Amino acid sequence: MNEAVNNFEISYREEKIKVQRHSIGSQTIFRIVFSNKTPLVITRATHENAYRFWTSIPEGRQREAEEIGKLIEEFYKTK
Amino acid sequence: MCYYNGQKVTHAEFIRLKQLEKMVSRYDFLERDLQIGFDYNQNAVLKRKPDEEDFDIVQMEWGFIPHYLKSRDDVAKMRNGYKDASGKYRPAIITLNAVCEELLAPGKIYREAALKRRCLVLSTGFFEWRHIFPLNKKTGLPLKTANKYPYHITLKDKGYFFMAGIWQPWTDKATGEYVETFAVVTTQANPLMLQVHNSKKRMPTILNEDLAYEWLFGDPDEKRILEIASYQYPASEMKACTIAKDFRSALEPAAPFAYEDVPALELNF
Repeated sequence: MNEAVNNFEISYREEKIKVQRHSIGSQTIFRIVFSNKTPLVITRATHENAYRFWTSIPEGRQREAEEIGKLIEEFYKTK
Repeated sequence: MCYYNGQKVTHAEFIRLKQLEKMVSRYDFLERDLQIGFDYNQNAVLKRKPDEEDFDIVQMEWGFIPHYLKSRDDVAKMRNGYKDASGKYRPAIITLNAVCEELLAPGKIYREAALKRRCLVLSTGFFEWRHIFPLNKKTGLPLKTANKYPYHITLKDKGYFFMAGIWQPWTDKATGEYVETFAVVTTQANPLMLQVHNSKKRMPTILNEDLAYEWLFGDPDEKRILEIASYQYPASEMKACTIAKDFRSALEPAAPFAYEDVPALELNF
């Protein structure tokens, strides 16, 4: 298992944030650790119209989920 | 129709996300920096509450640790293999899976757990490798080395399912660390898994709802434990799809991936 794809850092709003990938019941979630606020858990979900979107777990931090989710996608594309 | 975080989702997806919420809230490992891989990782397991017809969803370490191991060093030796004091190599013992046929054999490390500590391993799908031996272009005979292709296996129309498991409490005598570990029970492959996991011809023991209930809450005798442990989930209710070979490091490991040189599976069960 390549550790670099499960624990990595990305830049978000001029800050380095830590991303940890976990597997729960075969589902992938990402835990985001900030230096100055509560950690965030995000995952990918499926919209009624079949497209995929990022969402926070629990609800309430959708904007961050979408913004950071895009950065995570970029990370995996270029890893 | 439901909304999750303002996004329109199906009822099934809404329930999945809500269940995920509950699981995430119960996972204390999320509070630590921890590497989660596909082996020896933390998994969601349904564990019966003592003397109650109720269960907790808990995290357990995948990889059964026998009671006689005293420390994490011993565990690492068991899992990775080692040279003993005389220089003789002791091969690794993998305890991710417990073979159903040997579950209750006298002296086996799984016997007591199978009798007293059965659990259900929550899953949405699992991965196995199919071995395909290419033909030698000159002789037409199969080559000795197989090409390996990964598959993601799921159940039709079921987002979640349960695998039979057995669990074991373990304390590191050197540090006092307490963990609960488990192994997934395996059975002989059904007609679908015979084609996918064609090297070992095994599959996890996937239980329907009635058998899952009996495995967790029932009081089966040894014969019945072996019957349930060897249950083959119907091939016609499962599906298998090829995925990318680097799925372990992919954003979505279960995303379908087509290979031109992989023959289709026979699905006329």
